[in-house]
Amino acid sequence: MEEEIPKVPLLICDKSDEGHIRKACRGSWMGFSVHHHFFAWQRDLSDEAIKGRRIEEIFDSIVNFVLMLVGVVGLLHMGILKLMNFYVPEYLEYIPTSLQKTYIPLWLLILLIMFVMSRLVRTALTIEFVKSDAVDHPYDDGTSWESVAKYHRGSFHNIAHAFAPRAMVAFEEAALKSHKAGVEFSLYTLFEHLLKTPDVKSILIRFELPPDQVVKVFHEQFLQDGADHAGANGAMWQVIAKAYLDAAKNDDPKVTVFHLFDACLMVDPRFTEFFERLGVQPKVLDNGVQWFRFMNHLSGEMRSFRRAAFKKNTSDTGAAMTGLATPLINSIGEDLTKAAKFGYLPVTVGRKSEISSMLRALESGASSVILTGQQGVGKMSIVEGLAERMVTEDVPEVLKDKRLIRIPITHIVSGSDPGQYQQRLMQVMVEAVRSGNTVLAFEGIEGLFGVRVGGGTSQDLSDTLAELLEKTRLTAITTTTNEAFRTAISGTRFGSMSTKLEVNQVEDNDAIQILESRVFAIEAQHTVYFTYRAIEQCVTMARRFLQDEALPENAIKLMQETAVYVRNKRGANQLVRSEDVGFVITEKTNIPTEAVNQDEKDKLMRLEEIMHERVVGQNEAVKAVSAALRRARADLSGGKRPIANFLFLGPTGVGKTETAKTLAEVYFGGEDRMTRFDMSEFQDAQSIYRLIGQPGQQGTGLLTEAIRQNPFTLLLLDEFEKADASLLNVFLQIFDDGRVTDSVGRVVDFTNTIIICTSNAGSSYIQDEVKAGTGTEIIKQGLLDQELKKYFRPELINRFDGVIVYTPLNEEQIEDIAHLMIGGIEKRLYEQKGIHLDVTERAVAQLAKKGYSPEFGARPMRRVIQSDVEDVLANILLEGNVGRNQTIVIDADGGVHIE
Amino acid sequence: MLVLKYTLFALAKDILYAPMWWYTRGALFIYKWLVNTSISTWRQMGLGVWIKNLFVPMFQQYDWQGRIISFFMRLFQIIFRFIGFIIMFAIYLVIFLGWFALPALAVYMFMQSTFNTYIPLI
Repeated sequence: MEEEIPKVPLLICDKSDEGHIRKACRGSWMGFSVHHHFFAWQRDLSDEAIKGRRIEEIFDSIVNFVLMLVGVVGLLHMGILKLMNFYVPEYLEYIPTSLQKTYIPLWLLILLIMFVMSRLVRTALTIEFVKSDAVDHPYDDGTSWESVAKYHRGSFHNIAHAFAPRAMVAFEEAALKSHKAGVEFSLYTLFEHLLKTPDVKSILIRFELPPDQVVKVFHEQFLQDGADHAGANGAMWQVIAKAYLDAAKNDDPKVTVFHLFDACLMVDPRFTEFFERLGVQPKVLDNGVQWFRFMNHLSGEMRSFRRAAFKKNTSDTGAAMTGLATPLINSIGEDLTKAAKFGYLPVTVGRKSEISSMLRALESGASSVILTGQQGVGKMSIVEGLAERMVTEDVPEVLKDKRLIRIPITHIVSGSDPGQYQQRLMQVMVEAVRSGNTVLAFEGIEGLFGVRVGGGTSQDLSDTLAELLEKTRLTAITTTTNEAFRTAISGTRFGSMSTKLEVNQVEDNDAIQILESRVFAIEAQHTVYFTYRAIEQCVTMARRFLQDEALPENAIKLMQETAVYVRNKRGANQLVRSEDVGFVITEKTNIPTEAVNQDEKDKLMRLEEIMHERVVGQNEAVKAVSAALRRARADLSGGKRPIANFLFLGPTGVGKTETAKTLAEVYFGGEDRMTRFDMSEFQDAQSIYRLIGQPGQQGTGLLTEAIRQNPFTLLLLDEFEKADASLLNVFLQIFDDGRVTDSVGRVVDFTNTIIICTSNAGSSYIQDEVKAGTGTEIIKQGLLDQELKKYFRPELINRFDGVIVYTPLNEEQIEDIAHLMIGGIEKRLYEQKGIHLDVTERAVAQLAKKGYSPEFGARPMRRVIQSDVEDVLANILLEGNVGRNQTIVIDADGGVHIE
Repeated sequence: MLVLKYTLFALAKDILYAPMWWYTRGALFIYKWLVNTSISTWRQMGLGVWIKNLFVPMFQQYDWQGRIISFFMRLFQIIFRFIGFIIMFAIYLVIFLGWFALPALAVYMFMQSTFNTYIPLI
């Protein structure tokens, strides 16, 4: 676990041989003190007591039922007789006298009913909630029960009363089981019984663990005969105390199975290890348990919200009829306070700090608050959170007894005439002002900007809004995107009078919590069940690959789509696993699933081997790329930079592009997952606008748009040295931060790209040095020291994870390349026509010789193969002399025959 | 024996304990009930809000006519709501007093009707 949790100083009562506790403990089995209160477990756990209580419970309910029945029937019987006597006395003759005479005296019946009522009230009064006093750290304030009893005069809080029924049943079952086995009641027996509860079972299912199997394995490991249980009784009481204190700290009303389970994991690390062996990492386990605890807590909060909401008056005029009716606003707007009161809004999770800074702004007199943030970041859910707070009246005085109404901008600016828009806006605002208790919420306020009533310099709609807000007591909360704020709103009258509140994307963990709070509704709708990992995966994948929207909205949508996908593919009542999320991502974005799901480590370890299947020679380059990639990934798994960035140097046709293609295939799952730019097209300073977009125009940046639409890609920048120096500065930032802001202010994320820059700079130097027999390392050093400085600034070179030098190919390697190329033709020919091709060794050697050029590397090879192999094949195929399953043999000196 | 202890004996103990509880902890319970129910009725009637807004005009009628009419309207509202509250409170009070009187009365009447004896109360 994250931090070492100190032990609770406990006082445990000694027991006599018969299992009874000492008199001095005053009925307490265990106790601890917090802040001058003494908390004790005062429920007898002896076999007899547990069994007795169960019998008593059943007996009591029977007695209560029978007595109540007698009382009520007796009263009815008596009443009927009296009534008949009063109205139609003659009918009494038809009723047998025995029935008339046998009755219980009226006052005895009343006593009976009162007795049952007192019993019911007394049972209800024993139910207690966790005392919030117990939040402080427990302390040791007595070494013996005698001293504690003296100090607290026996007034202990009985923590057993705060245990939820299911938790109590599991606990007592465990106690009975230990008694039966004749061992001391230990932590392990308790844990085993917790594993059998429906609550913990539902957690295990979310981890894809079969519950019965887990119980079996646990029993074999911890509860076989002869297992060491020294001190396990004390540990068990530690768990009870921890669970109680934890519930108090978390403001939960009852100690549930989840609290006990969590406390077990905290007290004994062996449980965490046990789950780790079953394949559930400690962090994941903790998050999963927290999920259920959080849901449990949330449902408790929902209940208290309902109670508080019951009192809220949501009529137009408010509780004291100070307000005025608002027919227009009611017809076009949505009353968020009313919706919150009746539970139509999804619960707002977290966002406490944003809501309180909004309240602070309103309290200090701001008439307009503008929430800015990326699409899907949850601006509206903050407004809804405010509505929930207004329902419980947990707001400053200015918002008390008010209504929050959402006005869709589309309802204001619909129609053909801007004059109408202004009129409608005025009507809404005036009605809101006159009502005196309306707070308006405008979603997407940018829709009002740039709408002019007349031509030229006439008034903008937003100015109308600003003016009305300034002159009246009206309060408005508006939302907009960052981009719209920058381009349309900032600097306007409305922009300067509003208090701006930036809403940032939630952290992954908060996003997971938000998803957890929504998952049950989605599960109920589609009858599938999400594993914890699937939820986590939804968040990670959404953040990485669905960047058009922000967390949590994109993750929620992804979760919904995955639920539908699983439901359609596998039917109802199936588990949604993390792989399913990957499949949905593939369908949405065309990113191959293997690339998304496959373990990255495995790919990295075999990188050289995979790359050499396609890249001939260049041993040192391949090794350097692989090593640099591994280095980059090991260092920066935090992902604040691109996956890796390389500079490939070397003459043309030696395998630079081929390496890039191979990397794209290995790392991203396909050659086509490569975005290629020829930097020789970006040679002047103006071309930066082509790269990141024209100022103010959305979607005009070639590079930024390409990466936005395809964030999981290999970016190949050919002839990098030819780009203008101002562009290189942009790349400096990309290499460093993994992100760049485009011309309209959107942040484009490069953290999922591998960036490869190729350059011919210093090619002749490399060729000369290789001819002279210099080693690659020395050539590289020479390049870095002299040649490259002509083109790149040192800080740019330093940003690369690796500067890789490609040496010219020799004849032998060219022959290998010829083999690879011919192999490709052979494969295509067989797949398309069913015809075999056999090019003899001598022929290949001849082709290699013909295609070899020290200056151009393997480039001429392709032309040679084209003319000497492909052209020949084309002629044969056109003549139609060859059929399926025959073999075309190409020999040296252009000899061709068919077998 | 175990069964007897937790069934019949427990029931017998309970019969003896019930009257004691009724006039001690039970009394505390009914007192708390009286206070809580009265407070929530007071809130339900909106009395606090109406008194607080006595001088605030209704329906945003801030002219002087509106203020005068509103003041008297609110006064009437407050008076009638208060009467309503008093009626409810009286009912609660009867229940509260009944809690103490009823058992004693029941025992007394039961004795009287069963044994047909007249026991003077004073």
